[in-house]
Amino acid sequence: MSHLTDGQLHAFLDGSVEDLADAEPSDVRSHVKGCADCRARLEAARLVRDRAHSLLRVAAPPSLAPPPIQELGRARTDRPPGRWSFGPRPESLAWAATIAVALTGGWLARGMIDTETAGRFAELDRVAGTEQLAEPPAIAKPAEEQPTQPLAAGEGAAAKMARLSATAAVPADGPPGWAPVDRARAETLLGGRLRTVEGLPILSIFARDVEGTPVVWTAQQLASGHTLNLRQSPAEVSDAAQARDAVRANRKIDDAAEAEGLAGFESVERIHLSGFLIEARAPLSPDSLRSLLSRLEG
Amino acid sequence: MPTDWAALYEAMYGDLVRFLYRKVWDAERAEDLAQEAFVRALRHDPDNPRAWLFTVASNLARDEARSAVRRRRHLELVRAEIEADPPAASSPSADTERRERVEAVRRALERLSDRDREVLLMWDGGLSYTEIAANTGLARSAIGTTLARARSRLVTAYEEQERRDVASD
Ligand SMILES: [Zn+2]
Repeated sequence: MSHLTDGQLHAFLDGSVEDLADAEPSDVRSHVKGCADCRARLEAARLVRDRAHSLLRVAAPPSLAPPPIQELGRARTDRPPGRWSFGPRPESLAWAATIAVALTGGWLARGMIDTETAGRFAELDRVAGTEQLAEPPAIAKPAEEQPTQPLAAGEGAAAKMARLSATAAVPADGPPGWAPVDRARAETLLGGRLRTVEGLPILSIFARDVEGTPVVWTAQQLASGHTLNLRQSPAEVSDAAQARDAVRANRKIDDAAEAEGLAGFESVERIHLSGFLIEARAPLSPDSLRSLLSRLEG
Repeated sequence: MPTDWAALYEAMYGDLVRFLYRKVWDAERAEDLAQEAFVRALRHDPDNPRAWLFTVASNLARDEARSAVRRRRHLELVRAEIEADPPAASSPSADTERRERVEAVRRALERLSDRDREVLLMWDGGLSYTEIAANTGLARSAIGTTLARARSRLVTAYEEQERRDVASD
């Protein structure tokens, strides 16, 4: 064959001769082997190629740690610590929901989590902010909620926080589509115990119905003043290991946030517990959030 | 087979942000657009998500160039970039030097035709010749030629600039 074109030389350098439509890969390779001129041109092309891509590397942004995939679609300004889902733009919620579907879809592919449960949270987010419940359940005063179990001796700070929580900011009506409920009403809707973290003041409990499936959202106050958000929905999971794997799959993503110092980030954990799926979000390190969840009671 | 989006996200996020950064020249905006591209891809669930992501990113960047949002955010960006730099690296001279180099690459890239630049950035972003051809509508056999020309022009444009800068010092 005649000498290689510049395009063929670059394709050769790029390991893309298989992608050339104008020459047989074997012809290109054997020509390079046998032609000193083309080998010299190849080395010249290599210098240009390497120089071009080293210039491009100069034009790279300073940090490329991906945010947790669950955070996608939420503008930075919508990510203040401790305020998950209280009044973000509806469009953001829809985005976050899409990610939730896809993320759990990925787990699904690896057999880690059931579709149905994953879909529930996604659907929940899809409609949140755009619909109102036709008949809101009876309204409680969330700030009066107290931990249902006596505080242990070592939890003085939490007890103090519980007293102070009467003055904590609680959205008066809740986010659109969610109805404030009390614990008893939440448990009736769920058909089981409402799980909350022992010792943390409850700021609010909201509920909504997504195509016949109840979802209860409990906000609890952390000692830092930030908020722990728990969402609980009935879920059937036969294998407890599946739930553990789902949490583990999440960890890798959360670690990226941790590496960025957690500023403005939240960790997300999903666990299965006694027939319920519980999703927890808080501006904590993944380890701290997991250790908090080990205190889930109810 | 369903796409493993979590894995794809981890693998491609950096490439997509870099690709966008070289179009909008705003680190935070590039990340926002990359995230939006992922969000759209997830909704659409395309057959070839990698190529699809770059096409969407390209369109987003083009829309962005027309939008006033970028101008409004520019000051925020400059501030954020300064804050994001680790203290050791943010001595005024190192910072200035980095900025000047980025600016020089930016001007060199602007000397390329739109098509050459697009193909070059897509290759650098990790797309194959076949994927680039599908995305740009170019013939597969034209990708190598386009890359050869784009690389050569980028290097030449950058070096011409350097020579001018040295001459003007
Ligand atoms: Zn030859």
